[in-house]
Amino acid sequence: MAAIDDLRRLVSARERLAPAFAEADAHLSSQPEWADAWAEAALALMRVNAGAACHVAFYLATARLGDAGFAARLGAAAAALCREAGAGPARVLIEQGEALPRDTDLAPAFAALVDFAGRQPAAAEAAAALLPRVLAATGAGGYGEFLAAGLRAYGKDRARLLAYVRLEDPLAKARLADQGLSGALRRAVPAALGFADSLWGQEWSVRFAPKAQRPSLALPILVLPEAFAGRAAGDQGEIAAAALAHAAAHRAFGAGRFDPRRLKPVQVALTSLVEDARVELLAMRRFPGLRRLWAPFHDVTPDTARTVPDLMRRMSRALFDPAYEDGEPWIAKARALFAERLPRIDDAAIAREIGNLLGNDLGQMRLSFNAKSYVVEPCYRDDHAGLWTSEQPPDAEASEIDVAVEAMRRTEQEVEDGKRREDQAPGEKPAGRARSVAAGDETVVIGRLPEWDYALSKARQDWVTVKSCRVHPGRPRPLERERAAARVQALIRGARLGLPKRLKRQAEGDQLDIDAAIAGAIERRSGRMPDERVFQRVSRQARDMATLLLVDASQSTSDPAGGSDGLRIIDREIEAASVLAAAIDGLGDRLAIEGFASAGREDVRLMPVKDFDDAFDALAEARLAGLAPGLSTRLGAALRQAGRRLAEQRAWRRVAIVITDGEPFDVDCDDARYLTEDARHAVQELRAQGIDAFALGMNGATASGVRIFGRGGFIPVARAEALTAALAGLYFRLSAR
Amino acid sequence: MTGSHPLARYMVAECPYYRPAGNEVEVFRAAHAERIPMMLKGPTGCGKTRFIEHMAHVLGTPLITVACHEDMTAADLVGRYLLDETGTVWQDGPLTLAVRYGAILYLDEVVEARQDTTVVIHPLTDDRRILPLEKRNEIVKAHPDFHLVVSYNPGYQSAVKDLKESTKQRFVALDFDYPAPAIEAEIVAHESGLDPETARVITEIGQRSRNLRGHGLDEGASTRMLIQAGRLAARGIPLREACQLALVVPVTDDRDMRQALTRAIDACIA
Repeated sequence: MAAIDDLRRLVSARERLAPAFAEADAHLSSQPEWADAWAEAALALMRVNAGAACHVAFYLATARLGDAGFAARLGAAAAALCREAGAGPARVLIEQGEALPRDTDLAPAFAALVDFAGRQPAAAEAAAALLPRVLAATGAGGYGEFLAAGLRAYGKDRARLLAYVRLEDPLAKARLADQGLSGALRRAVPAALGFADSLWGQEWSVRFAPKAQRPSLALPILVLPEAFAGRAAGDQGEIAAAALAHAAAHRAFGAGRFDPRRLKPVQVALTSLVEDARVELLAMRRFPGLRRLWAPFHDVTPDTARTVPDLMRRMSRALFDPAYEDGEPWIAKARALFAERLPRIDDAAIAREIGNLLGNDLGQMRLSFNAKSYVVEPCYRDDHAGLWTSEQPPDAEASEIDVAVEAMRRTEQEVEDGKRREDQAPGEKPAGRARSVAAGDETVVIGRLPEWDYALSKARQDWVTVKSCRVHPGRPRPLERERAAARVQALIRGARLGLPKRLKRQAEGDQLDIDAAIAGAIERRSGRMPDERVFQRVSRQARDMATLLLVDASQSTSDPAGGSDGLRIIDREIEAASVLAAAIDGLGDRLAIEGFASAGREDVRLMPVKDFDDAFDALAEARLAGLAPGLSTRLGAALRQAGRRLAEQRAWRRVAIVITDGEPFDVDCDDARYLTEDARHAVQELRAQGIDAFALGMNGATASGVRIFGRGGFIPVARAEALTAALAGLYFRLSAR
Repeated sequence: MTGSHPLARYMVAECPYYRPAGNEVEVFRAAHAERIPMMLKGPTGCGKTRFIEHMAHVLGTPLITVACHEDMTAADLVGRYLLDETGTVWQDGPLTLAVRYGAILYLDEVVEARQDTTVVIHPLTDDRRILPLEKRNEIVKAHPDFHLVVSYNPGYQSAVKDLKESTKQRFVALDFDYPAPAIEAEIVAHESGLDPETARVITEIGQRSRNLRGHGLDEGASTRMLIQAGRLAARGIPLREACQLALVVPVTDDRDMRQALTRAIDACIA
């Protein structure tokens, strides 16, 4: 039966809805092709219990919109929003329907809004109310970036986050002006950093300053604007590369800072531009292809007005581009002065000489220069603040950088003694769906760990607090033990086959078994049938191996594992761990098991189940069974802590194995890539210490798993039932080597 | 093996091109004269194997090369009994051959072999210079020309793969690295047949990728890779594409790294 008929029947039973529905129905009859989709949306709203007011609003909005297809998409989004954050935001979204642009695909924006509502339900209504206004600035594709930036800055501060989505916060205003460029820029920065790194072998860090117009140099940091305004999103990467290449040229060829005293502002600006040209020329001598990178930005033409900013742009182009023609005598003079001093190009003083002379000329030409409104061109060049000793950056920019620093400070608030500062947001419930665990004497802080910030390309020292958290013993499921026991036996039997050091009388092998060969020769000479198995083979079971098994105990492991027996993912993990532990116990290998979960960087919990040298006894098994899902997955910290534990073990081979069900995620971190990159870095750190890291991943988060552990280190487990076999297989493959 | 020398087939007939980067040739000559075991350390593709071939030719000594691997057993080095129609015959392994008849034995990437395999060289590398073959009840005294050389890439070994301390301490080591840019350009030009300027650009690009070592790349482009890029270019593949094919795509799958390297290539090419 068609959804629309279902809907009609449901509505007819509810008097309050009938009149509004009739209005919508009238419009629907003119667009029958959309009737089903629309009815599905309306039913979805009913299923999430959005309430009569919301239904009525939807029907009336449909009538007003007169576009059932659009109304259907809007209704579906509202239903999803209602599921995450309640009926209020859903109704607000429906009411905003008319103000939304209809010529673009809004699906990404709706998805971003719903996702945001899931994280911050309290701010969802405000976000929905301002959706049309924000969309007008960012476009549907950039809306997600807009919300993500807010979460990044104020993820834990509800009041400021609310101000952000209401567009009352300065950062939000800056974001709106940005039009989705900043996301493109941020994504392009790692490649640009690698580029500068590779050219000169310099290490750079990049930070972002909202509302800044030009990059700013503070070695070894390059402060980039959130976005280069007025350029397409696709160009942001090119600009970032050009900006880093320019900054790198300053770093490679610059000679300290200039002293601005006794110079007029125009002379300061001109000296800086000549210095730019000087270092770029030197850089291009080394890397001629840089000309192609920078050339597109020198697009000023000789026919521009005879004002100081335009003349400066033309001069920059003239010094950069030998083929550029300009009839202006002042430009010709700049060129001549520069050419005269080419033999002394390595000397930064020439910039000052030329800048002085040219500045005086501009003064005599009666052209005025406004240092306040001056913006360096072309856009990839830095603002020159880094070239001068005591030059005050213009006030406006200083305050912008303050905003950025302030924003960073809010999120990086220090914690003391590993305890959250309670004055921050009293009564705030933990974001997300995480369970709250009584954190008293049950947890003990065991250390602080660094964390890798890919955006800064730098490790943040002492960033994460790791706690050891006692596990309450649980009751192992008998079914599981029975099934496990059978597998254990098989595994041990398999292992025992390899235990003898030397296998004699083999049909194949890499050495002759002399005794068998002699016996065979005797048989043959006495005319009997010799036994052909005359080889021996050495099978090595040199298993000097210490393994730390990390079991993901985050909230998501409470999801059903998808098998017919209704087990949760964590049950599968426990089963796999217990089978392996029981098998290993019989072989005398060292295996430690720890569960891990996290609630923000100041609370990464490791739950010891079994230590390396402990036997896997009933108590350990009970602790394993007691691992309960909750909180999030800060994988990098868990790996680093595992590294510390393994570093203390003396073994020929040390291995960390992670069983996880998804990507790293934590409540205080909304940049999905951040924790993935951190974990990847943690794996690299482990490898550098000679510790191998492997992961078994369920739920198909393969891309991030491969990113973190490398193709050889990540084993996707498509079916949770196969986890036990996959873990045992991995272990025995490792130990056989 | 009826020729003048039982290892005649192991002679390096033509002189392999080798451009010394420092005094390694003199050092090797001295160590060879004293038969001190040598260890050549250095990143992959920087010319260790080429060097030893060159030296074997110059010194007129046979060269037996063994590429070490994880499953290699001591028997693979020393030798084993095989069966034939009359009974068993002993077959010398490469190590025993070199010890018996006098040759340079070159164990390439020695850390790839397991530690318990490499200990068979111990009695050869102290003043005894003997190889006990306990299966044959024989002690082979090393030929005066026997010289043991191993190579070893310290870059990508983890603690799992390292030489035993007792093995390490038997060697003198020559540290190899990628040659200085000017020399490397000369090598690339010679090996690929490119003009010196293009070879210089390729070398320049190689330096760029080495700057990313440890910053996203495990290893930068080796001299061998640069030569391969040069060969492609000499065959008419446009330089940019040749570098992309030979220097970028093989070493990384990371999109950002690829873009960074592609930009670096672009910056180096006029």
